[in-house]
Amino acid sequence: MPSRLRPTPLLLALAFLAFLAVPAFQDESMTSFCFRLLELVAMTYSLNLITGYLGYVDFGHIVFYGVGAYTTALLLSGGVALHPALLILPGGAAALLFGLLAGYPALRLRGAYFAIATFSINEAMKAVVLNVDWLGGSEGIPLARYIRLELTTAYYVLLGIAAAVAAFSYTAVRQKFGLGMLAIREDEDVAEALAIDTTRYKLLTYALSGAVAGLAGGIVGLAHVYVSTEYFDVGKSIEMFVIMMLGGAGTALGPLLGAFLYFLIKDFLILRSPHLHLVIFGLIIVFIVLFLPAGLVGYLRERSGRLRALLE
Amino acid sequence: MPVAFATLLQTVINGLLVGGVYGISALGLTLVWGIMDIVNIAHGELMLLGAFACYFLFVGYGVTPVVSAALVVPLGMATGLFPYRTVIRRVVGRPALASLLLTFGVSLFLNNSMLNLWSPTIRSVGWFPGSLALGPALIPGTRLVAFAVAVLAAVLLYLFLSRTYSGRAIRAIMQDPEAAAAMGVNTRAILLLAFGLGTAFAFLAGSLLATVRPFAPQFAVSYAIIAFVIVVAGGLGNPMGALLGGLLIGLIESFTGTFWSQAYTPVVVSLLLVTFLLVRPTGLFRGARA
Repeated sequence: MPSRLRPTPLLLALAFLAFLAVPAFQDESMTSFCFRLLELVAMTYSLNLITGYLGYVDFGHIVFYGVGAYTTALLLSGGVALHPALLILPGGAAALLFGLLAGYPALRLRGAYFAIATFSINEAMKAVVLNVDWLGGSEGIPLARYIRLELTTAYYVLLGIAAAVAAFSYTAVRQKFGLGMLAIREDEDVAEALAIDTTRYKLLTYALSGAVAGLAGGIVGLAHVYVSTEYFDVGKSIEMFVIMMLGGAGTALGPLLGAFLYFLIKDFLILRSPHLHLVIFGLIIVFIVLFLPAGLVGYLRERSGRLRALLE
Repeated sequence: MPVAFATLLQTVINGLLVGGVYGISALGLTLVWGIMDIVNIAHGELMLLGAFACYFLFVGYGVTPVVSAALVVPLGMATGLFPYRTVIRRVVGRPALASLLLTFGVSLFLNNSMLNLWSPTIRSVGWFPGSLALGPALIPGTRLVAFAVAVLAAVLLYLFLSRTYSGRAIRAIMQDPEAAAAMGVNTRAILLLAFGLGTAFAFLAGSLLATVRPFAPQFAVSYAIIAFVIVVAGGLGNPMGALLGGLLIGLIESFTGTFWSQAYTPVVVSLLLVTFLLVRPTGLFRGARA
């Protein structure tokens, strides 16, 4: 097969290379801004796996982020001295395990029932963390005593996580696993009739996307040297949904484009009227569901036949 | 030490009375969910609009919450027509993904509009109608009134659903939309009516809840989750189940508060929800579609 220029992976690669250059060429405030951007990019790619590709609306996705952050923080405050890049691995593993345990019952539910169950699982975990003493309660766990992490180090780790999950999203739909996810999204009963082991596919997707969110939570917790129940806050869930919908749910470029678009719109709105941006984003989501179900990427694809072939 | 009888009685009273209000909130949700297969994520926000209506009527004009309970019903009915006509009806019959995300957008819009307009301050309607003694326990007047209004509303809804043409049409569409349409039911008008009624009940429940405990826009999620759990426990599209489920959740919440900690209510509610969904997905009582 003649090798054709594939713009989607090229765009992804260019974007992440640009991110790679930021700490070397920009000042700290720019790096710190890009750190926040990357955090949302990684989290949205993770949400996109379960909601965009698999079609299961996960309103409680942020629970994995919290589980990862708390596991990492507890290990650190418990005296485990490892390089931070290694310390987040148990956080990711804990989120993976949590995904398997919670997903096993929850993924037997479909549609709205699953969405509501995830909502309430997150609320329950938040209540546990808030009320169990050795988890820090409402005061959280301060970490500054144990670690001093350069922002640049945390930045590169987070960049690695974001780039890995983006690459996975792009390659998965070319393989049996990703096609299975899409089949389940389109019609789960038909997928099952076609001998796709839907339970395994769903559980793996849920746990894997959870692991990514757990790793992200771990590194963000270390970078901010503080974890608290904020890590289970629905506010970040909302941002992830807005970004996914803006960019295009179930597309490989969507979360990246969506994150840029999100910050552009947010800054534009905040300059004019603070606090109003979420009102507008609510309207934007309604508009996208009704008229542009595949977000910006879907819009561009619809606009021209050439772009349709180029963007994924 | 055995638990004092007074504590037990008080816990039961508190739970049952607030459970009635939960019940009518779930009634509103189950009407919409059962008839058009749309889970309204913005249900909690609709309840809060009712709460604010009650609050402002009381604080600004001295309107007794009993009177405002009667006022918020038509207000909710009218408010519900707007989102239904503009956006909700476009996702009727589409996959859950579309309606979930759409009503999520509506909830984001409403919630942040309320935060902008009225701030995240925790408010309470300072209405104190006194209380009644029942043996060693007290029946708080606010809860008693809220419960009585809730029961009255539920009875009226029951009469509406069983005695009137429109009410029977709602039940017919719940059982089989195509057969109902074939029998000449004006599905479009009835769906609009059902969404209006659902919103009216959310408003009413919110206005009653505001007299019982403090409220703020950011509480919408917890309001909605309780209503979801009750609908699931009571059986989808089953009004009686919603009411009994409300009493049950009210009791469970109240017992959790007395014997463990109010803070663990979300944990208990969440465990219950997942258990119900897995063990008895059709609810404790037979659902309309079962």
